Amino acid sequence: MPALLGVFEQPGHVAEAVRKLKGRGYTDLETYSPAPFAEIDDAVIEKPSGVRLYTLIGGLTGVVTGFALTLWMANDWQIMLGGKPFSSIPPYTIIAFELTILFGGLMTFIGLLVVGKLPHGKLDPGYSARFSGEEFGLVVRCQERDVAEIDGLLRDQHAAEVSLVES
Amino acid sequence: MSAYAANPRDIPAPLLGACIGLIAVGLVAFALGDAATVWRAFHVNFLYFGTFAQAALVLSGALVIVGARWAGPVRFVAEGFAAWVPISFVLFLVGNYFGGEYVHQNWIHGAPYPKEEWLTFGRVYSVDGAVMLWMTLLTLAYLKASFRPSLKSAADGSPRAKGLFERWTANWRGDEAEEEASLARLRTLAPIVCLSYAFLYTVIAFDQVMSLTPTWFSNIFGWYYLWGGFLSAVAATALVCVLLRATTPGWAEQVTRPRMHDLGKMIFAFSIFWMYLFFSQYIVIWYGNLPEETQFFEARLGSQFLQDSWFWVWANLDEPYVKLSLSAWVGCWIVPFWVLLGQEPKKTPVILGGVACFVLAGFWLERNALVWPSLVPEDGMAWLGFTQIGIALGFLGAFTLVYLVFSRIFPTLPLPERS
Repeated sequence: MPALLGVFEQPGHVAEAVRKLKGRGYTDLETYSPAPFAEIDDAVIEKPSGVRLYTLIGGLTGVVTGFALTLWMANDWQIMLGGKPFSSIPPYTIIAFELTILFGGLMTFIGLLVVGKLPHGKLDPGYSARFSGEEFGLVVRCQERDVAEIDGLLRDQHAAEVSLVES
Repeated sequence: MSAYAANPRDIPAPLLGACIGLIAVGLVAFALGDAATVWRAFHVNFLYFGTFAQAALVLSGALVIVGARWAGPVRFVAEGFAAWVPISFVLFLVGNYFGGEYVHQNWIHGAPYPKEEWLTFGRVYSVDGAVMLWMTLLTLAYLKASFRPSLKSAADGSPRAKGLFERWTANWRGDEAEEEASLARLRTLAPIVCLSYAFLYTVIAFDQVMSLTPTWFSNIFGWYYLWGGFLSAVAATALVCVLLRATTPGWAEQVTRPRMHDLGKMIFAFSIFWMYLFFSQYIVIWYGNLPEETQFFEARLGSQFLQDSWFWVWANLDEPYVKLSLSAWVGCWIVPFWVLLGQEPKKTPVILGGVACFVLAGFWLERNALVWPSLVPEDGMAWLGFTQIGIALGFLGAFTLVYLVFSRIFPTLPLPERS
C-alpha cells in the first residue's frame, strides 16, 4: 500500500490536514511531532488513550496495597507507638498515597509500552530525525488511485514537501 | 479594535446598582451590629479579599516568570483583582486600629509566654503595616509596568483618564520599544512580587491569623494560608473568564476550550496541593498529640479527627465549628478534585465556572473557620448572622465595583487583542 509523507512547519497545518483527510475518508494516518501539541492530538485522537486504564488499575492497586500492607503488618506484629492504635488510618494514608503514585506511574509506563507497541523493531519508513527537531510529519497510507488527490490536499494545507515513502 | 473608551461610568446599570446595593447592605450591617461581631467579620473579609487580590498578582507574576504563552488575556484578567490591594492596605490600617480589641483579644493585653515581645500591638501594627505598604507599592509598580504599553493609544480615546494615562506614559519610546521594556520590567518585578508574597505575607498569616490563638504555632501555616489565597485567585480568574466568554462579544475567541482546560487543570492541581499542605500540617499534629498543637484542630474539627483513628461518631459533628470546617473542605477540595477529574468538565464553561464558585465560597468559609473558633470557641454559629453576612456582601459589592471600575479605566478586559 502506498504511503505519502507530508512535511509541515506549523502544528496547526498538520491538524487541519488531518481533519481534511479524515473528512474524505482517509483514516490510516501517522503523525510525527517534536513536542506534544494539543491541536494535533485533538485532530488525530478520536477516543481517549487506553493508557489511562492502566493508570487507573495501577492507582487502585496502589491504594489498596498501601492500606492492606500497613494494616496487616501492624496487626500481625504489634508494636505500640505513641499510644496510637495498631490500625491507624492517618499515617497509613501517606503509605497508601505514595503507593498509589508509584503503582500508577509504573503501570502508566507499562501501558505506554503496550498501547504504543514499543519498542519498535525498526523505524517507520516515514520517520525522519528532523521530526524530533523543528518539523512535523504526516504519513497517509492509501490506495494507488488516491495518491494524486492526497498529494494535492497536503500541498493545499501548506506542506513544505510531499514524497512517496512506500509504493 | 474594541469599543474600549476608558470610562468608569461605562458599567452596566444593573451591575452598578447591584454593587451599590451590596455595599449599602454592608454599611447597614456595619452600623447596626455589635462592635465585636462587626470587627471580627470585617477581619475575616479583609483577609479573604485582601489575600486573594494579592495572590492574583502573584498568578500574573508566575505567568510572566515562566513565559506562559497559553494564557492570552488571562493574565490581564488576574491583574484586575490586584486593584483591591491598595484598598486592602487601608482596610488593614482601619480594621486593626479600631477592631484590634476584638480581633486580637487573646493577646492584645499581654501575650502568653514566650511571645510577650513578639505579639505586641505596636510591633504587629507597624510590621504588618510596612508589609502591606510594600506590597501596595510593588503592586502599583507592577500594574503600571504591565499597562503602560497599551495606555498611549488608549489616552486619545479616553478624555476621563487622559491625565493619568499621559503621566503613566511619559517619555514614550515607541510601541515596540515600550512592549519590550514592559516585559523586561515585569520579568524583574514578577519574582519580587512572588517572593514578597511568599515570605512577607507569611508574617501577615502569622500575625493576623495564627496569633488569634496565641499559644498555637505551626511553621507550615503561612504556606497553607497563602496557598488558599492563590487558589482563590485562580478560581476567581477562571470565573471571570467564563463570565466574559458568556456575556462579552469577542471573548468567546479568547476564552477558548484549551484555555479553559488549562485553567481547570490549575484549579484541579492547586486544590490537591492545598489538601496536601493541610494534611502535612494535620498529620504531624495528630501524631505528636501535644495539647498546644491539637487545640487548633480541636477548635475546628472537634474530637472526631483527633481520636485515635477516626472511629466515626456522628454526634462528634455537632461540636462547634465542625460542620463549618467540613463545608469549607468540600468547597476547597472535594468539589474541585472530583468534578474536575476528567477533561471534558474542565473545558465546559458552566462546570468550570460552577466549580470556581464552589472554591471561592469554600475559601470564604475556610477563612471564617480560621478566625471565629479562636475568638468565640464555644459558639459554633458565631460566624453566621445578619451582621456577618451583611458585611461579607458589602465587601463583595465593593470588591466587584473596584474590579469593574479598574477594568473600564485600564484596558484589561476590552482589549483582548493585546494577548
